[in-house]
Amino acid sequence: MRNKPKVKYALVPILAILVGCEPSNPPPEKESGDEPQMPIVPPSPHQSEAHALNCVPVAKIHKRDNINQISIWREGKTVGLASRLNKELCAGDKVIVPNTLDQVKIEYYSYPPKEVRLSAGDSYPVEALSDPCGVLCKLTENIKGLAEQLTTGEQEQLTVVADRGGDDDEDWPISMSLAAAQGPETPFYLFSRAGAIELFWAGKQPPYQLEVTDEPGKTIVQETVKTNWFSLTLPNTESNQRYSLRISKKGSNEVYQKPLLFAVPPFPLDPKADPYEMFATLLAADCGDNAQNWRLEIWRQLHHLLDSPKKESFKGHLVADDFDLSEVGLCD
Amino acid sequence: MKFIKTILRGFFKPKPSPSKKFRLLFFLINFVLATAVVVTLHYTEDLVIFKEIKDTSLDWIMYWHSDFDPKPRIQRMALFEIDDKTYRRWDSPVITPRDKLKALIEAAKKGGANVIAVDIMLSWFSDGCLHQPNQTATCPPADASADKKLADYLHTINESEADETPIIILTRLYRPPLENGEVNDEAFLTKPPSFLDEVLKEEKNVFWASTFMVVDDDKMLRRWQLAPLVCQNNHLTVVPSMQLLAALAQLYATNNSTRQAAQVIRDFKTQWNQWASQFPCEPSQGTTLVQLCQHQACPQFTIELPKKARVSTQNHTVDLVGGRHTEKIIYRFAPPDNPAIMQRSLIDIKSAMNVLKEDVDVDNQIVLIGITHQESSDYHQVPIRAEEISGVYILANAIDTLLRFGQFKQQPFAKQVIVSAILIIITTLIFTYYDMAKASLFCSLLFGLLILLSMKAMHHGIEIDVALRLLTIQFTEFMLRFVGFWKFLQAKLS
Repeated sequence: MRNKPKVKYALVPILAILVGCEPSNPPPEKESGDEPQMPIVPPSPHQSEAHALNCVPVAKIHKRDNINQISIWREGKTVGLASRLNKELCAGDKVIVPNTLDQVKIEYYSYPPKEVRLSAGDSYPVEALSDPCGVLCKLTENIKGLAEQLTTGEQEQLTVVADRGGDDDEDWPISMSLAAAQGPETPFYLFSRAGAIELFWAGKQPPYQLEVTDEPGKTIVQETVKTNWFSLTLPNTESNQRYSLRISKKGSNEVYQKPLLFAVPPFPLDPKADPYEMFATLLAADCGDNAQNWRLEIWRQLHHLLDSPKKESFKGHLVADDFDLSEVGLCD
Repeated sequence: MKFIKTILRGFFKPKPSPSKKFRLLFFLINFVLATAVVVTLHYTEDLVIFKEIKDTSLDWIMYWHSDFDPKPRIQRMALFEIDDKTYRRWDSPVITPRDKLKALIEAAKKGGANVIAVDIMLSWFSDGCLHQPNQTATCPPADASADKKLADYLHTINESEADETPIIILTRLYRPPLENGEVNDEAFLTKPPSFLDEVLKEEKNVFWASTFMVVDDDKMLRRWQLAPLVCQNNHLTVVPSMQLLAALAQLYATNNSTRQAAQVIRDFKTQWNQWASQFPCEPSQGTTLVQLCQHQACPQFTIELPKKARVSTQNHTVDLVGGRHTEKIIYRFAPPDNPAIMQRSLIDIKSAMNVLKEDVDVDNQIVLIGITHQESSDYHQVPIRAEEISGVYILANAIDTLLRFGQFKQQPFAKQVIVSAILIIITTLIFTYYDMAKASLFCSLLFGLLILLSMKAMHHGIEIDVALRLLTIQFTEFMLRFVGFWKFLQAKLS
C-alpha cells in the first residue's frame, strides 16, 4: 500500500533566499497559425554538427530518415539542420518541416509525456515547460501541506475553548493553550492595528483578575472577568509596542503572565492568498533561535473568517496544539 | 547610519567579563571542549545514533537539492514503464507477459539503445512457477511459447558480435535457503533456476545482475549493494548490481559500438568469480565483500569509470569494498508528488503501451524497463519525496549517482582536519565572547553556511559532516550555561 502524502522537510525561509530558486516559466501563448513561415536556409558545413545548447532543452525531434532536412531556428536565427546529435529543442525554438517530409514527431521532456506531430511545411514553435519543483516550490508545498493538515481532522478539542471552567480546573494553574507551553518571557506576536484580541485560558475558577500593563509599568487594562475568555482592546498597537498580560484568580497571588508584542508580519501579506496557508506560514515562524509565536494572532484572524469546517478544524488543532512543526518538517 | 552603527556596536559588543584572566581561562576551556566534541564525534561516527543523524541531515540536504539538471548536462536516461494504463490494458497480469517484454527489448534495440536494463525478475515461467531442473513443476501447464521466444531472442543477442548489439542486463530472484523447513535469513542468498538459464550459460552481451536494496529502520531506502555475494553450487559468486553494470556498459560503449563495454564486463565478472568461487558458502567468514576481505586476501576490487562526452564529465574510481557510506544513492529525480501541468521531466518516460505502438528514439541511451503500476509491491520511501516511488526510479538514481560521482565520497582527511580546526576556533571565540542568545544567532548563521557548503559538496559527490559537530558543541555549551557551570567556576576562582 502506498503511504499517504505528507508534509516533509522544510527550512528556515532564509535558506530559500540564500540558495536561490528555480522560477517556473509560464507556458507561452500559442502563436497564430497564419504567421509567415521562415525561409529554409541551407546549412553551412559546421551547422550540421552537434551544438552545445546554452538553453534548457524541453523536447527533441524524434530520429527519422532525412532528419537533416528539418531546420531549427532559435532566437530568430537558424541553428542549422537537425541531425542525430543536433535534435534537442529549447522553449521558443521554431521547427520548420520542409514540404518533402511528413510526420515529424516532437517529443517533449514532460511529465506526463507529450508528443506533437508535424506535417509537411509546418512551422512549429516549441512550447515552454514548467520547471521541476525547486526550493521555493518545495517550501510552498510544505506550507500548503501544513495548512491541509490543520484544516482537516478531529474537532473535539474545541470544547475546552470557551467554558466557564469546571470543577477539575480548580486544581490546575492558569494557562493559555496558544502559548504552546512556552515560558512567561516568550511573547505572543501580534499585528499592529488589527482590532480586538480574543483571549482565552484554562485553569482555576472564575472570577479572574485580568491586567495589562505597558512597558513602563503603567496599568492599561484592569478587569474582573467572570468567564475564561476576554476581548482585549489596547489603545496603542503600533509596531514594537510591548505589553504585559497578567491573569490570576481573583484574590490569589499565583499569576499567569505573558508579554504581548506588536510587530510587522514576518512576510508580506497577500490579501488574495489562502488564509489557512498564511496561518500555516505564520506557524512556521515559531522555529529556530528567532522563533515567533503568532498563534494568538492567528486565533484573532480566524475570528474574522466565515464559519466553516476548515475554520473549526484549524481552531481545534491550534487549541489542542496537536501538531509538531518538526514532525511536519517545518523546524528541522 | 548612526542608528545602524549604534545597533551593530551594541550587538557585537563582547560579553562583559570580570577580568582578562577569566576570559583566557574560559577561552581555553571552550577550546578543549570543542576539540573534545569534534574528536569524540570523529571516533564515534559509526555509532547507530550518529549514523542516523548523518543520514537524516543528508536526506534533508538531498531533499532541497533535488530536481535539477546537472551542469554540464548529461545524457538523459529513458524509462519504458509498465504503468497502470499498460498494466490494465494487458489485463493486469501477475507475471509480465514474456512476449510483451520481448517486444519492449526489441523496441529499445531498434531505437538505438546502448544499454537495456530490465528491472523485472526473470526467474518464473509463464505458468507462474520456478521450474527445478529434472522436476515437474506443480503449476498447471501453460503455453510456454512466449518464454521460449524471449529466451531465443536473448540467446541471439547474447551470441551476437555486431557492433551495435546492446548490452542487456537482467535480474532474477535471489532468496535465502530453506533449511529444515525454516528460511535461514543468516545464510547467503541462493539463486533459484530461471527459464533463461539454458540459453544464457555464458554471459556475453546479456548479463545477470542483482538489485539488492538496503532498507533502513525508518523504511527509507538510501543505499544499494554494489556487488553482493550469492551462493551458487555451494560456492560464492559475486553478482554485480544492475546500476553498476549499466554505468559500466554505458561508459565503455562508444556511439558506434558496445563491444568494448561487453568485454570489460565479461572480464570483471570472470575475475571476481574466479576469486569468489574458492570460498564455501560459510556465513561465519562474513556475508559481504567488505567482511570477506577483512579475513581473506582479496584482488583489486576497484573499477575505473571513464569520462565520456555527454554522459559523465570526470573519471571516477569505484571501490566495491568501500563500505556502507560509499553505496549511498544521491537522489536527483523522481515522479513529482504534486506534478504541475506539463512539468519538465528529468528522465524520458514512455508508457510501455505506447512503446509497442510505434518506434521510439533512444539513441545511445540507457533504457530501463520497469513496473510502476499501483498494484506493484515495488514501492519505497526515498528522501526526496513524501510519497513512495517505484523501484525502477531508485535504480535510475543509483545509475545517475555512479555516472555523476562514481561513488559518494567522504571529505579527504586533510580537509576534514582543516574544516574541524576552523570550526573549533570559531565556536570557541563565539562561546567565549558572546552570551547564549548572540552565540546561538552566530551559530545559526554558521549552520546555514555549512548547509550551503554541504549542498555544494554533495553536488560533487562529497559528504561534509560538520553540522553535527557544530550542533553538539552548541548543545554542550547550552547545557553548561543552563546548569550554571561558568558562574560556579567564576565564584570558585574569585
